[in-house]
Amino acid sequence: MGVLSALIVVVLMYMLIGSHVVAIPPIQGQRWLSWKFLTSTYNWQDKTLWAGSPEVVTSVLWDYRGIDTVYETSVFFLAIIGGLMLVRDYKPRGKPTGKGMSLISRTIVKIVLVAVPVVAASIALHGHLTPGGGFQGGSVFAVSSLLAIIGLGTGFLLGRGWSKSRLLGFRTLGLIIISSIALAIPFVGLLNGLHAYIIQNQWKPWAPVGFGYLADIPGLGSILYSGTLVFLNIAEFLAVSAGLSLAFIIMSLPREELKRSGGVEK
Amino acid sequence: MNDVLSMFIWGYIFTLTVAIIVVTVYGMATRPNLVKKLILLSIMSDTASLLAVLIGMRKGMVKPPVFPGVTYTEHNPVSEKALESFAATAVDPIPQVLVVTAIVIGLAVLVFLGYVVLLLYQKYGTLDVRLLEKKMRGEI
Amino acid sequence: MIASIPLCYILMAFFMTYAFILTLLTLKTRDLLKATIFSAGQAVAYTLLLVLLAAPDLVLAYVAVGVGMYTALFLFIISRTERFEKEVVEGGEK
Repeated sequence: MGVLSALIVVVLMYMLIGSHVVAIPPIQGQRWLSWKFLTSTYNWQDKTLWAGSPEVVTSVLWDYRGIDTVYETSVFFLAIIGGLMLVRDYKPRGKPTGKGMSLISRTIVKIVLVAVPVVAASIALHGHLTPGGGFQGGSVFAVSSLLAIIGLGTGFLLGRGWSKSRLLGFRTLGLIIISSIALAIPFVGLLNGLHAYIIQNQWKPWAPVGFGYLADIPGLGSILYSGTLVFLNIAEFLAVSAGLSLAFIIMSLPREELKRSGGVEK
Repeated sequence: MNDVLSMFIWGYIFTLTVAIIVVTVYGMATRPNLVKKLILLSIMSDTASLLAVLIGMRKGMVKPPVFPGVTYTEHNPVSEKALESFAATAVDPIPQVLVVTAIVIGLAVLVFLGYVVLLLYQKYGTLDVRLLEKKMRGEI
Repeated sequence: MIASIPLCYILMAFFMTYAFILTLLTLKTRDLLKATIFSAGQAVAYTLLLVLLAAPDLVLAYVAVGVGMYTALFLFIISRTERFEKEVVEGGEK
């Protein structure tokens, strides 16, 4: 079995190198498509194809290939719905008693629990200027709710009102914001008889409807919000954090409650 | 000397990545426990993403694909030379975009499969594939 | 990104070897708790490797998902099902 695996590795490496997918050593110049993306997202002199933000990865995710990201968010949504099968008839009967860990761990978790959601919101908000974005901030927020479940017991979050329907409501709110932003610009274009795309960000000569890129606030000067990128990042942060927290709260319920409220007959 | 050394090390890194993929596929096909199959599936999807990011690496001193510098306005635009020097030393951004999507989809699939494993254990009482097959057919 | 180019590649090769050894250990062990901890160590190695490859968005996404969530998910599942993998079962063929 070991000889067969080594043979398969050698054959795969030969096929990868021979078809010029993998270059050993790494090549010097850029490929044509990456050169186009790198020189046109922050190009102030030639604004036909620009996205208004210096961060190339976020602008490709939400502006040039925005429909891919919308489909990825919906796949995530469907996975969370599939997991709700476990708690179909869940009625909380009293508070789940889980005491969590010892006193030292609980104090430190309480201190850290203030700092982590702030970092998560900061990562999501500046996703159009520096590395970050909606999904990265949402998963850091879910790690903080995981800390609360493990360190402080299962009763802590449920006792503060984090119920299933409320988290599902936040998740749906995030998705509604994303779809309304995606459909707002073609709607405006339809009303005025202009040409516009579905997830369009900036003004283009052949589709003259845009979202703008600079805002003047009276006290602070002008800030660069890159069109739809800020709002899409905030909505994605809301949706991902609520969905992942719900997935972990369901999985941490005690065994007897899961048996009682799922839809599985023995 | 420098070139030959970096070529060898780079080939070694690629061979190890492909070897991890082959080892995890072999493990998923052979081991009979469902949770072990899940763990190896997560390792395999992460290694495939890493292979895509390795393809995007460029020679020399590379920088991440974020445009550096202070804020620009209409009266102080980005010059052509700054853009060209940025594009010449930055790493390829396209594999990183695809890998962000791949990480989210891998997480969604694994969370869903975790729920399915819990349901299977509630109904049949075992997580061993050989016993599960017999119980599903009704022979035990 | 570090001063001399082969040093960067040598660090990458070191982290890759570490990840490969941990993957082999995950395959061989029969205790599922140890397998989870080995896969968490391998995720840390991948995060450091992604820093060396100049991909900052991926580092932020991967450190929360790979190290935090996968380990917690597997630990939740193991605590509600069995911990050890059986070699021979009665009633089934090997």
